[in-house]
Amino acid sequence: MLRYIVKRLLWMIPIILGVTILVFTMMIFCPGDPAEIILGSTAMEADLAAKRVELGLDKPYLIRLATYISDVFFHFDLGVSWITNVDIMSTIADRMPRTLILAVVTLVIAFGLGIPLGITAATHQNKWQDHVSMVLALIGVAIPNFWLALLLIILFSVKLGWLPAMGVGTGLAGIQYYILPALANCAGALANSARQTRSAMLDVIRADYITTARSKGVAERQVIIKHALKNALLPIITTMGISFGRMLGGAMIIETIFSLPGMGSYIIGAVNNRDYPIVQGGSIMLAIAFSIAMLLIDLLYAAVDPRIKAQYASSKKRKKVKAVA
Amino acid sequence: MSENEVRKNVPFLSVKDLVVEYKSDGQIVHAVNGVSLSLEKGKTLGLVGETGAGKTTIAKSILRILPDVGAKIAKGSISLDGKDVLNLPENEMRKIRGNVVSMIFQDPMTALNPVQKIGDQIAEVIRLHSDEYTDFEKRAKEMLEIVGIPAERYSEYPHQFSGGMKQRVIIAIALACNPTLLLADEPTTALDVTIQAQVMDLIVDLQKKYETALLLITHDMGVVATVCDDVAVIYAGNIVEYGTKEQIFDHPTHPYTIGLFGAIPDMNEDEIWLHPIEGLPPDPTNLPQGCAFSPRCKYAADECRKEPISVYKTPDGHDCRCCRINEISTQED
Amino acid sequence: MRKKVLALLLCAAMTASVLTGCGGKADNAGSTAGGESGTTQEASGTEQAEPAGESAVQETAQVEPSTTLSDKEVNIGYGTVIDSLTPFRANVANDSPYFVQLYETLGVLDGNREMQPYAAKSWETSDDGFTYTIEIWDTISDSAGNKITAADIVWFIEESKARALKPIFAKVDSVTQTGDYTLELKLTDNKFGTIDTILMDVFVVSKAAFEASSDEFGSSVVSTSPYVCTEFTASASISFERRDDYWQDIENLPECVRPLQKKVNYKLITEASQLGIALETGEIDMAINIATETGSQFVDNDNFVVDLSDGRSGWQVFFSGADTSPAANDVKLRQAICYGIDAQGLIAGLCSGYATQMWDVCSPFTVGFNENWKNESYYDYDLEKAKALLAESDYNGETLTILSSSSATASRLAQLLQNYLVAMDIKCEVNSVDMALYTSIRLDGTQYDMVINTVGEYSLADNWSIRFDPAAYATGDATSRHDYDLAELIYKTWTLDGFTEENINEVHEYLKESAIAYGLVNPQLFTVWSKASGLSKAVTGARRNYIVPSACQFE
Repeated sequence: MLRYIVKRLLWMIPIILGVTILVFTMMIFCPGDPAEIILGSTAMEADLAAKRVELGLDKPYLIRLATYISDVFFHFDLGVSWITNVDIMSTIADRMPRTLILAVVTLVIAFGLGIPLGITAATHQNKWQDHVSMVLALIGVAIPNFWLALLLIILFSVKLGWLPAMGVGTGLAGIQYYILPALANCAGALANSARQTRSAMLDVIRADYITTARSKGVAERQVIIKHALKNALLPIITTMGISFGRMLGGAMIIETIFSLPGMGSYIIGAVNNRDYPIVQGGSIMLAIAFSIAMLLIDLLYAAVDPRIKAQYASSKKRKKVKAVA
Repeated sequence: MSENEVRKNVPFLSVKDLVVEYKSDGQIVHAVNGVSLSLEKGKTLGLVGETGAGKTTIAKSILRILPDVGAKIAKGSISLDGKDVLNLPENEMRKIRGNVVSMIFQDPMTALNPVQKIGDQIAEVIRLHSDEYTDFEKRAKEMLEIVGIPAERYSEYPHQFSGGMKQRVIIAIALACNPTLLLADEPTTALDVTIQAQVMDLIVDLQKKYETALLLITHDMGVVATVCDDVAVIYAGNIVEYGTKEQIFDHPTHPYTIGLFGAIPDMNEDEIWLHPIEGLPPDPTNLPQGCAFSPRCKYAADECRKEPISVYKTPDGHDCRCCRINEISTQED
Repeated sequence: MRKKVLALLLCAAMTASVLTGCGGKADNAGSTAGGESGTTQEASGTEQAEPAGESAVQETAQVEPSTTLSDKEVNIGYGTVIDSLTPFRANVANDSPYFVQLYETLGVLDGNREMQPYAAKSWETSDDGFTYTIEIWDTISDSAGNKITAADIVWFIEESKARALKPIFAKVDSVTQTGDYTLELKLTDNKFGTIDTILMDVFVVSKAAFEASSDEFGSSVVSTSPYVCTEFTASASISFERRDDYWQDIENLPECVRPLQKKVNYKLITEASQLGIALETGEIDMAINIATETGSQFVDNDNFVVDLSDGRSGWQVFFSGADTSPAANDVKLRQAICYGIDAQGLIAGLCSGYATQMWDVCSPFTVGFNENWKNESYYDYDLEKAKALLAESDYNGETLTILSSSSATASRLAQLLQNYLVAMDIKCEVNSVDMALYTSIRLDGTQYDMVINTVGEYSLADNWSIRFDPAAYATGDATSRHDYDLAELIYKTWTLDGFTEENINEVHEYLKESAIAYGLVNPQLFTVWSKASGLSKAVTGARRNYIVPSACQFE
């Protein structure tokens, strides 16, 4: 198992390297003169030329690529923003945790509500609970999240004053700043998790081992939670992974509405301003975060299903057998 | 079926006029159409019939583990040791399942929970039906040894066992609490022939040891011949012939039963063609009026197609649901 | 069947909610789900440009400047975020109000747009603005106790020049310390405004304190300001508290930088509607520079005071000077277009009435603007005259291209312009491009016939040098024009002595006659505060003359 984890971590390196090279190369082809962006529209020719040399824009592509890669991987230096001259790595270190917390809180709410909803729908298939649950899920997918965000703000912040509408806070009390954004963000993931749970549970409930469990005299509730749900978890975990990945980059609208300074607003702002170092650095960090998340998901698979765990552990044994034969 | 006056003891299991229907796509599937049978402690009843005849449904009805959606026990009664089972509250029923009555399933590959250790699956049924002083793990390990699996394999998962061993685990689960009635639903169908013999021996040994009543569902006449005391032949949800093993094997009366025996190839003869029963089993949503076998029966007459057939007694005293047994025996002779 | 009914119901629900979002005046909630600004109010009495700091909406008696320090804590909302507090920075966001509390500068603009001594006691030139002798106060110390000497100022200027983040420091030829508290600054030119900009951009920082900081003051600052930055969450909030060991006496400070409030907390909220909501819920007492759609919702609200002031830059259109463009050498065509643009229409269509017309290519806020120009007519809308001039011009049905950036305001403005041109039977198309592309082609006059821009430098001289100086860029001036007559007039205003009303007027007249550029519309700035905050005197100052919360007087 440990070997599997190490192997996966080692695989991450070429992947991140590939992302870096790809992003760097694409940015070279984008229009816009970095010197002009940095110095603004009032700069003179001489200043612009000097800046170009300073940035190394006159060097050949491979040298620039090599410099960039060595900066990123050996010095952990993602450069500075062209517009504000602020160090990108430290800004990301500030902002990434916020995006991660938002994603995690969103997932907790989405799956915490979605899984029970899906189970209810599956166990009462074609009855009113099923229809109501699935309609709720449908509404969740259909509602635009910015509309929901504004409604939540009006209700919980302006009218009731229970939760803050914007910004971030420190410490444990800071979680309250994430609740409204997470609620606005979770509608889609909630719908997906409910539907996925329902369909996975329906598959599993028909299985023979569920009949075996019932024939043993296990209480229905135990049958659903201990026997059925545990087996239905695999597709649900997959959905969780996909939702998490989407949330890492895509919470931009929510971050903008709630003034949550996270990765989404950072990168989108940089794209709008043509602040390429931020786009590059942000993409790399997101790629890393995503890879780690996928690794955790795969490990979660192993924790839930012993057959997969055996697969991970035995993949090297199979190779040995081949060599001998 | 009429009461079994032949039996001297009070039967442990008594099923009377059981009717079970499924609702599927708006149509009603008549799975079981008025089945009556009974079984005493320590005895074995073989339930023989083709796939889809309703055998598994009967077994699941006894345990009341029919799928919730669509299945309905429409009529009839089932009693265990004199107690009416169909009207028991669910929590009482749960005390019976796995404890007084347990079931062995047809497909061992899918009958075990893939994410739970097999030892825990055995221990679970023990834990459900014992008090807190019992050492569940110890007892589960004992069961493993009894079915021939080393106790060290307690913590392994189902995917690490072969088909035959999985079936042994299921047998262990079924017998862990010493049930009085064991429902075995084609326990060897999915296994290799060599393993079949081992598993059947195991079941029979344990049955003798614990004096368990055994309802053996099968379509293998050979197994019936070896193991059963009584035999009931099912066709389209009806018991068409019911008697002791000797009666059925020596004097099969119902055309269907005759056809079944006829279909068994004879080792001693040099035959080119097999002798199947002509035709196909009827559509359970649209059963024929009268005798369900009449479309395929070469002895069928008009009176067979009008009304449901009642049970008649054969010359040697066993039950047969055919109105033309006299004509048939004349022809056969 | 059931599912179809359900789907229909949901569609109806969505349609209904979308319709409720559009139109109507939201008098309470700041929700702007409708998207477009559904309210087009005619501004009452705000047609004329108002001097900064007062408006028809707000009643201000003439309140005397105060020297009383209060214990008040104010919460301010502002829309531009920063990620770092470092004193060596680019020009981005340099007009943010919190910079007044963060660092002290050598000089500061007061509410009348005059440069006042701040950390510098005095500055003199004996050679017409090329060399300055600057004397700083001898009592300056920062919050860590470091004493500031001229060496720190010299170091700051040299370091700024080396880092080349702000173009103004490229104009420093050399700087030398001449005494403990005096230094000599040599500039490369003596253009009006250069020394002012430098005085405003030199932050007073102790070299020792800066070098002791692990991240170059990125997240926490030691400065000489009367306020200590107690909290900074990048891009979210920044808070200040007045310190007791401030080095200067309050009476010696210009009014706009007096630290009257004990605590000033800024919440950085980028989303306009959220800024409005923060005002509603009382989370902030004042929102500085709030967007028009959100700010206009507070105009009828009795709990709030809305302060309107002239925009600092305004929007202009520049005609291409490249010979390939029909407009380049055809003055009648240009004048025709200027007459054909209805400023009132732009005010209503672009800014919902919250804007003023312009009287020159620059905003009245620019230093050098002559108030008398407001009495002149500036190509007032006259479609007949426009068509007549068009007929006299050499226009032959060519399609003119209007270049604008893709920001919402710029592209909308371009479309409005297009409508006016089409009404005059001039064919034209709009080319709205994203910022990067815009920056790279805006100087190339062959790529467009008209370009929309918002130019708002400190002084007119700066405006002109970046727009109309044929020597500025390789291709000519900012639209590839080579107008040496205009250049001569402009160069006359470039020295300290030359920046006179007379010389400025000459350029203004030339620009007006030739119509090579035209001031379109100047959106007003909204600053809104709640009456509950008790603001009795709003004090403005600093680079863009915004309200300075720390210097305002409250009841």
